[in-house]
Amino acid sequence: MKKFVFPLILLLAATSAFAETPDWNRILTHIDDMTNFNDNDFSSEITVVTAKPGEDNTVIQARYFRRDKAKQMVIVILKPDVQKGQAYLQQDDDLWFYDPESRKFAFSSMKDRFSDSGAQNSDFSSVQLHVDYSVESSGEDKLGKFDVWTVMLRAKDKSVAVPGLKLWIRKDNDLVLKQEQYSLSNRLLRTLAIPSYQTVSGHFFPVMMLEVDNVKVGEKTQITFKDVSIAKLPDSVYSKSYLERVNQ
Amino acid sequence: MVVRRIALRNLNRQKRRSILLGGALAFGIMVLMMVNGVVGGILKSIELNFSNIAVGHIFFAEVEKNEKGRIIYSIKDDAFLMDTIKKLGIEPTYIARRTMAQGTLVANGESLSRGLSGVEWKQETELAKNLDLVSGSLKDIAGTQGIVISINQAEKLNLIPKKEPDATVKSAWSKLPKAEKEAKQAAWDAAREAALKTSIGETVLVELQTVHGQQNLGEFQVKAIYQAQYDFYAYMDRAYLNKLTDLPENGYNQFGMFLKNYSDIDKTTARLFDVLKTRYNMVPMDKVNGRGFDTIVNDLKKESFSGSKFIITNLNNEIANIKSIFSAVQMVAFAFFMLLLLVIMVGITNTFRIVVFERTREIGTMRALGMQRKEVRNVFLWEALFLSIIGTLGGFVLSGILLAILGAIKWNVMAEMNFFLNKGHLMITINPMVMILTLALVAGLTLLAALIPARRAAKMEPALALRTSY
Repeated sequence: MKKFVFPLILLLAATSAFAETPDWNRILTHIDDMTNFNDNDFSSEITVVTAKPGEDNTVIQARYFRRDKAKQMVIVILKPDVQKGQAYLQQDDDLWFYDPESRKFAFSSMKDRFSDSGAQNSDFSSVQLHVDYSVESSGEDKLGKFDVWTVMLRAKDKSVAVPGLKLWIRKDNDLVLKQEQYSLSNRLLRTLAIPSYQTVSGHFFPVMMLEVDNVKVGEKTQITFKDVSIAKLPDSVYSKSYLERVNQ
Repeated sequence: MVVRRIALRNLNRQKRRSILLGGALAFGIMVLMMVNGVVGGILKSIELNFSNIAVGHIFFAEVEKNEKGRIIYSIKDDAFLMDTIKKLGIEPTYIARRTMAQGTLVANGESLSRGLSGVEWKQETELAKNLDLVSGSLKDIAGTQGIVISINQAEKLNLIPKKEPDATVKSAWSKLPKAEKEAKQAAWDAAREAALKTSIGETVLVELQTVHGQQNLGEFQVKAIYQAQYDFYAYMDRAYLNKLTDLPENGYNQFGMFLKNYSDIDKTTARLFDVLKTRYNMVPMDKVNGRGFDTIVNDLKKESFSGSKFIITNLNNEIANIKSIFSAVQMVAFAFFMLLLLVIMVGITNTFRIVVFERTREIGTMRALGMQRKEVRNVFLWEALFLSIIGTLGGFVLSGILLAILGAIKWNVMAEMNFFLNKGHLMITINPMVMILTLALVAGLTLLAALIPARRAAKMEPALALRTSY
């Protein structure tokens, strides 16, 4: 009898392990599908509040447009007044920053800070987790009242801005609740928390994101998205001439 | 000889008039020389400072695009370049092969953006010698994660106290008795001195991107602190910076070469280009000349190309815009000088007409005593020439004194203005050729202004002149 017990335990363990190993390709693709807007335009008003130790909070309000299918994005800053009219334009892999004072466009990067706030330009672009990353390790955890998967992702390609990502993903609906971003040297750079989502035509979009800079200790950023819409926008919105026009 | 003596005596006889005319000339020349001296000095400072910041007079770069269209700088092999330099007989005074990147230094909750300069310390012994260290040492820095930061960077990263306490502390001190205030200042200075030593070994994190654009973070230990009039860079071991930026261990992305004579850089760049183009896919010189490196690369971003493109450029192209601004200032100063000179010339013509009128009987006497018409004309022309020489030399002396005073002053200006200075002082340049040309121009124009009255004096009939009484 004893000789059957050990193999049985092994078999049970293996079965349970197999049952609990999620299909990461499906989950990552699902996350991308839920959070990207490939069939519609997306627009919203964003507020970025940055808190730095020993400094007053800075608040930036902006209008935000995205067309993920064409890899296009526009952000036009509305407040503060000194930055009014400054804008970002993404077309494919290129990102430009427009300064209405000099009326010039300068090359920017997704990894750069968004208008000197604690947020990064990449926080506003669409993500392609299933394309850009491969799974290195995974596990289970509990985050607040939610059962979550934890997964460590590594960039497949050298051009992906964040080389390492650790995600906390709700088991019941695949929504990412928390994210840690790691450098190429595997140092923790930033921690993002997304406490709640809003649904827009079957897509999910954060109501708010909280970001903690793990390098510049004490620096925190809160990004709020409101007045979300998926109404079709004219093609001209995603152009340099539009940014010049809105400043006239 | 007699003619010249008479001319000099006449000048001396009418001192007030001579001083006024000579003084006006001296003033105009002083303005011109001062503008030229200061602007030329500023340009020299810019060339010197910029060459130190950019690390070279002539630069060579290899550029390629990755599959995402991102520009990557990485020099893979400089054997042909070095061979060309040798074959052309170019003798560089210094060659720097650096890995340059941009990063954010972080320590003690503070951060600042600076250039990162990856140095092959064993090759660049000159840099190690020239860095003015106030703390630490570069002795064992090669192959480590050591970083060399400036005093200003150390202050901003809260590694050492600032040189002066902030306004609130100073205001609190101002209410204290003098002895107590001095004791506070001495304690502050001592704390700063101590911090300069204890900050060696402190950790500084550096946020940066790889050449492909990935985020990375390096951890460094402060090895030394340097002082400099500008602090664009933090220095570190090239191999470690290469690792962080994802370049090959022995790779680098900037080749800079200093020449003995700055004036040779355009010619030398053109000679190098002519040979390098036989081997490399060079960016043509018409797309390089007069344009900064960033502009050249921005154009390449728009171009579609595969493989590597090579750029040979120099400091004159980098500072072409700045140079054109200062050239415009020099042109305005010259136009002002010419206007002033024109007014003075009219003054000289009128003065000499009056002089001829006043000396009519004297001219008659000289002619009666046998002086030829030509000699009479020459008396006035020599007088004008002496006036111009004295005025011009006076202008040179005045401007020399003022420029020497300006050059001796240590200017306490904003850090950004240091770019136009040399170690806090205005650099003064005096171009002997400009001085000779100015002297010739002023002399020529003065002679021209005096010519008509002089010829009128020469044409006078002696008998008529002797009879004239005013």
